[in-house]
Amino acid sequence: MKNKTNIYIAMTLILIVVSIASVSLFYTKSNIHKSGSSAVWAHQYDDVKTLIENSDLIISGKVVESVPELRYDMVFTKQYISVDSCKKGSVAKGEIIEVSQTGGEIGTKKTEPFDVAPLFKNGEEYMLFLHKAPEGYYLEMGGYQGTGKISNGKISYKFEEDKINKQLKGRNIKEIDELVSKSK
Amino acid sequence: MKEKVVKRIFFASLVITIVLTSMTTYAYLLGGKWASNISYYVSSSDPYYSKFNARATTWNNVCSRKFYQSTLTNSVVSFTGYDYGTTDWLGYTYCGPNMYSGTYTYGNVQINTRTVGSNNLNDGQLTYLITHELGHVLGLNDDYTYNNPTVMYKDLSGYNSHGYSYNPSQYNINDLKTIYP
Repeated sequence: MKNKTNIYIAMTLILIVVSIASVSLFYTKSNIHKSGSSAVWAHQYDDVKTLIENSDLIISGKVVESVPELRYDMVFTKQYISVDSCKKGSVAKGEIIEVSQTGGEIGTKKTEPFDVAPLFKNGEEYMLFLHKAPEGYYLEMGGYQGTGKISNGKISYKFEEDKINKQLKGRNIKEIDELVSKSK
Repeated sequence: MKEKVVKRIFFASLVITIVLTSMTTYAYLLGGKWASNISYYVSSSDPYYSKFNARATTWNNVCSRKFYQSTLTNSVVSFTGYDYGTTDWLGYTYCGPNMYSGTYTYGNVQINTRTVGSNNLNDGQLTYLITHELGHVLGLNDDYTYNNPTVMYKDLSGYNSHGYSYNPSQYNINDLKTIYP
């Protein structure tokens, strides 16, 4: 009697494991399908030196406000960043800059951000290599290549297979300072 | 009594597992592609009207899943060329999957006339760009290495520096055959 109960318990546990594996596979696969959200990038960089040289502004800072805006049939998000330190360019600490990102939501209108360039999150810190658009806002260098998320002083990158992201991965802010100084 | 409860939990788990594994199998078999031919809309006043139509035909020549032109209300994919202001991308594509199977149900392709203009794209580069975006609609992903000639390279360097054709390569055609056997 007790044996039979134990068999049922064991089989139930196996089924739970299979279900969890199934769900995680399903979501992984769904994300792959979603990678229909893709771009042809205007400019991409192969090495950090070129990335630095072509950047108008290199800063670390925190997102203080995100405002979506509609441009015809696409939603973009204005990200307001409070600058913590400026490595290249002339922006004072505490100054707010605007970075434009593709993607966002206004009412029922939604544009999916690129998988490799997710929207910045309010309150989070980033290391950003930026170039200035004629409109006055900044754009991430190489679409996504110039964006690293700072946590505990380390910088992580969303798309680690990328050449630039590989070279910058795991570096701290001081190391980025050194790289920028060297390229000057 | 205890055995009865355990038995019920077991059968409930069995049903849940069967449902979830079926969904996953379904997603693997049908996801990331279109279940039928793809109706698209492009306005006749669109700056890339002719190019969109021509490149749809190019893909139709090498893929069993076909594009066909339709009206705004009857189409599942829209093609648009527009001045979206300065962006870091030249072309954008999104295809929305059905939440249960992952099969595409709608999509859109946007080409930014501003960035195309400011980067002085020539006709060959523009052709590569539009062919690339329509390749995404069919379910092809970006290529990030120069291992094979491809129209799906992530930027224009595939065309500019590596001399890849703006027409689908054999590598792209083989990929399509795995999606639409």
